[in-house]
Amino acid sequence: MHDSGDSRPGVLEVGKLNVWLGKTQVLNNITGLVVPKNSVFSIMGPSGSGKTTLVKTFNRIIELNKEAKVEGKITLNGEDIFSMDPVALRRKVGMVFQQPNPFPHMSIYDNIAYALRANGIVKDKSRLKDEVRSALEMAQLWDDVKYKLNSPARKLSGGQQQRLVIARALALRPEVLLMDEPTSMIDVVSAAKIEQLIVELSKDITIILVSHSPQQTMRISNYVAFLYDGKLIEWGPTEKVFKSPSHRLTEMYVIGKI
Amino acid sequence: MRVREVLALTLTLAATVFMFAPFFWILGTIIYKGVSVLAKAGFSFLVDIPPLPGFNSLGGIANVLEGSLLIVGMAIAIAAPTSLLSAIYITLYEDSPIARLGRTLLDLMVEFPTIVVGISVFLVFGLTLGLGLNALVASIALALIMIPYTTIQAIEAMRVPKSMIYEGAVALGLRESHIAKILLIEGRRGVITGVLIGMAKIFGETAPLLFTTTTSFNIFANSPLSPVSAVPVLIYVYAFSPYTNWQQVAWGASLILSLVVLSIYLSARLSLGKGDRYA
Repeated sequence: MHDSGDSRPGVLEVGKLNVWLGKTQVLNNITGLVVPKNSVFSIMGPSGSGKTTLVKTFNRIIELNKEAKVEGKITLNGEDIFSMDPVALRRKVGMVFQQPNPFPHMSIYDNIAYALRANGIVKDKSRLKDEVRSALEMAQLWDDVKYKLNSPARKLSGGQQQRLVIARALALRPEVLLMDEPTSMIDVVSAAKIEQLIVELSKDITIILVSHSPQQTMRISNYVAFLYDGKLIEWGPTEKVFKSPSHRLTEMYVIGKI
Repeated sequence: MRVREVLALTLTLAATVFMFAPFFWILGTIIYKGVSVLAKAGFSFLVDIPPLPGFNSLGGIANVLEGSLLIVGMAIAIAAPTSLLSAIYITLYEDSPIARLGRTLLDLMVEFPTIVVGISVFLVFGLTLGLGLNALVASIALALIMIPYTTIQAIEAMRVPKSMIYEGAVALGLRESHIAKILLIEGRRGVITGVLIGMAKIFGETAPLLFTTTTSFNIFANSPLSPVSAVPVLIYVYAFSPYTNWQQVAWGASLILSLVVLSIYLSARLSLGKGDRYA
């Protein structure tokens, strides 16, 4: 394993993390993983290696699964996430899922405004409008939807829905944004836009990206962790992991042999 | 093989037509018998009171219609919020023992004989609590019958949206009360349909009203605690009477009742059909 070799401070740190789903151990002693601030940190690995479980542990969404059992330590800016209120944690650590999941019958505007209002973040109406616009601009969706903010979200294309969901998460100004294969269910053009967006967003927030595609990982991430069979095989700067992996399994994955 | 296919198709089609036939036969009879009564009585059928013994006029069903509207309205006022709140609980906490028990009991309540509901409500509210026969007691009986229909429909309406948006909503740091509101917004058409289906169900209910309403058909209820009667009870009593004009009133009332129930069902279908379904 490598450390980042970079001056960026760590946002999330993982130590001795074990996760079980029922009787199956899905993550096995993940330790020494440090996610540097304002970076795109990819988690790659074959299917069933535990990538999604790992990111779902970062915002404790994993706990929605009644069979999940988590042991170990994860800190967000030094604070143990397991001693935080999960609701407060999720406002700091946002998440975008593989399948775009806007609230389909709500308007585009309300999809973003709802959480801001409900969480008591913005109460003033004109400020709310500004926040919605700002979130849509950040997600590069404003130009597409500025004349149809009252249309239901279900009327957007798959790619636009995914950007709306990103905007919805960004509106809460998270410190970390978890993205679980956000481009796997949308068309190539939309995927390219989202990749570009991820790189832009990482100037201000930390992105943790689950990806099935080594090519995508190489294109957009600053750091990469490789998981295999629930174990952290190695992690480090993307270039280093891809060009001179320190483990045979990583090398095989990178060249597409596993 | 071809003959077998034709035979199978013929049999299934015949069974389907056979299934529809009684409905159209009943509807046809009610329309045939009822329309002539309504044509003879005219608009006064809706604003006059039923004929008393010894009178040959047709009169109308104004007070029983008012009674039905009152008790159904009150039953909805009791059942709709109760159903909605329990549907939200059962949807959000579906794995909890109370939610699982609730879901099982709802299925049981749907199958429960409504006459037993009527006699139980009469015993508890009418006799033990001394409320007697009045609109409130009748509406409690109807509410108990409506609740499982409305709740089950509301649960179904929110179940699919929940599976699609729940994780996303939790990931936004939303609390359960806010997620419940989203589920209501997303499943609102199904929830409305549930209320309409429950309403249609209780509008035509007769058995529980036999214990909780009066058979004096010449009184108007002027408060929730007034004695009240209802259209199905009038049909039941008048259809068995020896007076021809009473029997005619029963046919006219049957047509009105059928039209009301069918209209509510149609609205429910339209309400559900209009909404965009979840994939």
